[in-house]
Amino acid sequence: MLKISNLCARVAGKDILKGVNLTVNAGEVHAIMGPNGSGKSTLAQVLAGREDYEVTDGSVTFEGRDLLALPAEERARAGLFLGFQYPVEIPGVNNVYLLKAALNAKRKAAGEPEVDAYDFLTLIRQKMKFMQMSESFLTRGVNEGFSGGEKKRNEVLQMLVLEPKLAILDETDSGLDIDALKVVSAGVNSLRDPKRAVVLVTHYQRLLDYIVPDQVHVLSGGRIRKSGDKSLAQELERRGYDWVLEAQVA
Amino acid sequence: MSPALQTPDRPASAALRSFEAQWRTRPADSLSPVREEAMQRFLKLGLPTMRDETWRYTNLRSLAAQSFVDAPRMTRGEIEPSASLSLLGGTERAATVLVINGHPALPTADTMINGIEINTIGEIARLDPKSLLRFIEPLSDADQQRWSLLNTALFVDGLYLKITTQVATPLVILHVATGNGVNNVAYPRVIIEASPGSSATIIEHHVAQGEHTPLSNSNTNIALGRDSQLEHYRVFATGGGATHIDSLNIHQEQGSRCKQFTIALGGGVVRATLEGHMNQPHASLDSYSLLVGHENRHVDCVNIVTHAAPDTRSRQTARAIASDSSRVIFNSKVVVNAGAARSDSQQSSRGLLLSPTAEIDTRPQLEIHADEVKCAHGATTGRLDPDMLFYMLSRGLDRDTAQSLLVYAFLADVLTGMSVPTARASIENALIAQLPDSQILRKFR
Amino acid sequence: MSSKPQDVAALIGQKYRHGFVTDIESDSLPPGLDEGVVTAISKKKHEPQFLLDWRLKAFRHWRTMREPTWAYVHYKPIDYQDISYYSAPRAPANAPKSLDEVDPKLLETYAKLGIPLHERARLAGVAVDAVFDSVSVATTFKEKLGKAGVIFCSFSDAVRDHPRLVERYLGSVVPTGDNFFAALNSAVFSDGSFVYVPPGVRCPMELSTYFRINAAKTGQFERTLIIAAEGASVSYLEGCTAPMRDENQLHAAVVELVALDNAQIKYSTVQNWYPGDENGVGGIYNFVTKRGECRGHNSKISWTQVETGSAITWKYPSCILRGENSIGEFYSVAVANNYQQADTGTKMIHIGRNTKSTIVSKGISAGHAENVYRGLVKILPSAAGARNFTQCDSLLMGPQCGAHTFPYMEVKNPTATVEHEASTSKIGEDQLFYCLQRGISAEDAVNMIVSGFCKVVFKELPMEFAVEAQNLLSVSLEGAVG
Repeated sequence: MLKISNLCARVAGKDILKGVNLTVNAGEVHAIMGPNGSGKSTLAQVLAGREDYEVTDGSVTFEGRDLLALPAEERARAGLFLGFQYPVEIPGVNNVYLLKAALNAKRKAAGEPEVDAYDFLTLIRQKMKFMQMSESFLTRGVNEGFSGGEKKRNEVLQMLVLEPKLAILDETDSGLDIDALKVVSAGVNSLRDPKRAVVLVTHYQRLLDYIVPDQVHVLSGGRIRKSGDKSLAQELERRGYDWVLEAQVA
Repeated sequence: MSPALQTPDRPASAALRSFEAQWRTRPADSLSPVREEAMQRFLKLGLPTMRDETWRYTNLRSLAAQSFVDAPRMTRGEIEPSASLSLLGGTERAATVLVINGHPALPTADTMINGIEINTIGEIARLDPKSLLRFIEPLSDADQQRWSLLNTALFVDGLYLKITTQVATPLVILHVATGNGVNNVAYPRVIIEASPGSSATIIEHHVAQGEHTPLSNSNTNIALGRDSQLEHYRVFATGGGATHIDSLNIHQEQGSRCKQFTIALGGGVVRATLEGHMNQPHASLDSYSLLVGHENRHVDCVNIVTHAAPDTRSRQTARAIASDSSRVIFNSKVVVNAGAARSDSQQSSRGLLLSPTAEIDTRPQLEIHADEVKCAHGATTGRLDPDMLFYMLSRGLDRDTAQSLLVYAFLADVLTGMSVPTARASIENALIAQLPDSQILRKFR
Repeated sequence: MSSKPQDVAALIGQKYRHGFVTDIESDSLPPGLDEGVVTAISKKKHEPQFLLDWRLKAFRHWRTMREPTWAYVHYKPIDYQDISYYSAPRAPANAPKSLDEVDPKLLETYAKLGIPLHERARLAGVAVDAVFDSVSVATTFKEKLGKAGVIFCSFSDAVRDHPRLVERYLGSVVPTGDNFFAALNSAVFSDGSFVYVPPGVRCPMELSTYFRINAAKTGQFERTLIIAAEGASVSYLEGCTAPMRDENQLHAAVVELVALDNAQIKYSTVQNWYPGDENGVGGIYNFVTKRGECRGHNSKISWTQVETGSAITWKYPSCILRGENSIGEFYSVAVANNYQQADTGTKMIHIGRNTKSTIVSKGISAGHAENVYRGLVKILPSAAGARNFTQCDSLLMGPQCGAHTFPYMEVKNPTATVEHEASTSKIGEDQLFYCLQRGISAEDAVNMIVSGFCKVVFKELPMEFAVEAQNLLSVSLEGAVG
């Protein structure tokens, strides 16, 4: 589904990604872990099409298409979803409106008719219930005045409504208490399906107790240093990152 | 009668001479002594120039070179029907009072609409001139009040509204400006008195009729009695290249609450001044400014809010958008007088520049003479936030939609403050027509 | 929770520590100003013709100008004919070649001021070009600087030894007719400092000048010109103290900075001139024009000032950001106590693409003082991608002082971002109480809180200056809150 080859990228004149290789197949859940500043978030932003991240080398294909050639909005419509680490607040733009506009943009691109207003509201209420979100969400601005946890729930809610083929969740677990973590994980798990894939960018192994990954990768210094199954995450939790990096040097 | 009219270092401009000529033709009335003093001061001080602090960004030189005569006096019948299509005229809920070139067109001299006593200033001046003085005096030499002096000297008639009770229905004052082909000037004057405990919503809507729009020098005085509440709008929607200079003075007594909206949507040059005085404790003033620069428009908004008593509260929210070759100025000042302890003020002004030939100038000022205060302001000017834009794009919205949505959201803080849905809807409509991608904006409203 | 009244009175009665007069005979011109005086100044200093012409041009312009009235300051009209425009310590025949030759009385003066010149110079590695009245009398570390190719000398020496550099750069940032006080300075400036850092050179030490005002009725009109050539960098320190006087003294300095491609200039000031007494009698009138031009690409000019002195401060250290990617900074702490009036701030003029500016202003008002921040941020149509951030905070101590904020933001490019934030507050009773409850005296608590308020500016000062600034601040504010 997603094939990243030798991806190199720079931000503000600084090289961050220095040759990332990664293949994600449909039905798989991958976890990308790594110390602070290793390039995890940069990778997520580059895949989503952020303009101020300059790709200097490599290629990315998504379902056979050249992902890097597409602007951000077309990537989204093609089924790529980024759950932001720090979702921006957009006061004055209603949550529901944004979600509806996003869903309709996707449907239009797929040649489907716009969603019926009533059906949409029913759908969103159902998903909100699943995510244990309060009704007030319907009337508020996008992420406006949300707590950190609420913002993350909102990201997952958007994902559930948009039903992407590939979801990249950037530290969606950070700042969540245990109950919220369970809700968010349940949301992600509900989307697991042989036709979809999920990439979890995370700091902690904790999330992986709830969303069990097929593969775990360690990203450091802009490269993937080690890959393995979920036991790698447990080992990282126990031993930290240093041993991976040292093993590389040796 | 005007010894200072021509001084060696400032020869009188054509405009000044024509204003003086108007003054000489005015008949005497019960306000003559005040008018005389106002005129003398105006002539002595002259038209403001860019050297005057609040006129730094507005050049009146070409205006000064013109001569003006009074705009024609017209009756309701002479106004073409289109002019009566007020911003809110189409809604059955609002009552409308028509003022043409400053002259009230009232069915009878003394009218009561929805609990608001409506009279002409001329009539009050005849019956009880002393009651008017508190709205007219004291005269000020401050440069932001220069045109008020001229209005005081030269206004012929005006509206006097007295709110005596809690009025639910908004009242619209439709100011129609219409000229007869020469350089006209009109001096609309409105006085609004809110009795203690009363409440009302009053919308002053300025429109133009016909091809020739006079220079408008309008002036509104508002006095809020103890614990009264007023929501006041002034909407500038005159078309074309006309110049409109409006001065609004608000005086507030104890516990009164005023919500004021200044919406600039039309005209060539719009200069809108607001002076708010919270004279007694627990008064509060919320001012909202929505300044839309479009084509070659020049919008200069000056707000001066004075906390003259302890425990007063003010909020100023301004949103400026400049597209094409327009220029928008938001000049706001909060003054906390000595002794006005526990004053609480906040100013938020944001500017959105949409064109390389447009300009936004912002001056969020504080003048504080008391120590136990909470005063803050934040001001920004720039383009649309790239993080917000990316967030929307990453959700699949196309760029035009995302941008339009953000422009609209930018204005939301002012729009959501409006508690009259019909007014809000009409203002939104008029506003959207002047924004880029108005088609898209219409769709998602 | 307020302390006893007598404490307050005692604390407010803080005397100016640096108040004394050194008895040195002055070689002064009589009061008055006309073309003859301007010519006499130039002649006394043996200046080349171009400089005399330049002065006369400035003088003729000045005569057509009016004193500005827009600032938020009030003072009795200044009689410009009642000021002596030249005075120099008497030692024309045998000027001192080294510190040993300097009049011991002068050195004593520095000692009283807490500036042990040679000690400080040796220990801190700082070269001091001390201005006593209007003529430089001692310059140290010339040799070390000479090796690096750095020119650091009095303005008069620069005119004599480097006339081409002076002619090329003098008035290129602040033209003769820029404003009333700058024009006056251009006509009559007596002396000052000159710095030229050649291409690629990083100035090996902090450069420092201590200014003093001494002789009675002598206005001071310094002129400072600093040029950092391509790739050069320099940090310049300016500090001031003045003796006590009953009569107001006018000070109208001009400082010009020029930064060429990739050059950096950091200019730090601690200003502690006599502020007048607790009744507002006396004190220096400080009308200063300071401006730097980032003429080259990627250049940077940073102003840091701690203003605690002077009866009136009228000062707006500014940056013209002409070069692409150039950076301007302004960090200021302004303290006004008793009847002091400060109207200070900055101008950031963005001309080049991707230029950036930062403004941080901390104003503290106490007693009956008025303290104004006035700042202009101007983004010209050519300044695509320009950014400014301004933070402007005021602290009020006492019910009779004023704190005012007058910013101007003029934006003519849609890709620019300009942000301004301001707040006004007083020292929180709860903050004070917390400290008192922990056994800290009110005075110390105020100092701590004020220091915290100003911290972001102090950290921009060179280390030795930061300490002095901190001390000055507590002296200036002692007793302002009971």
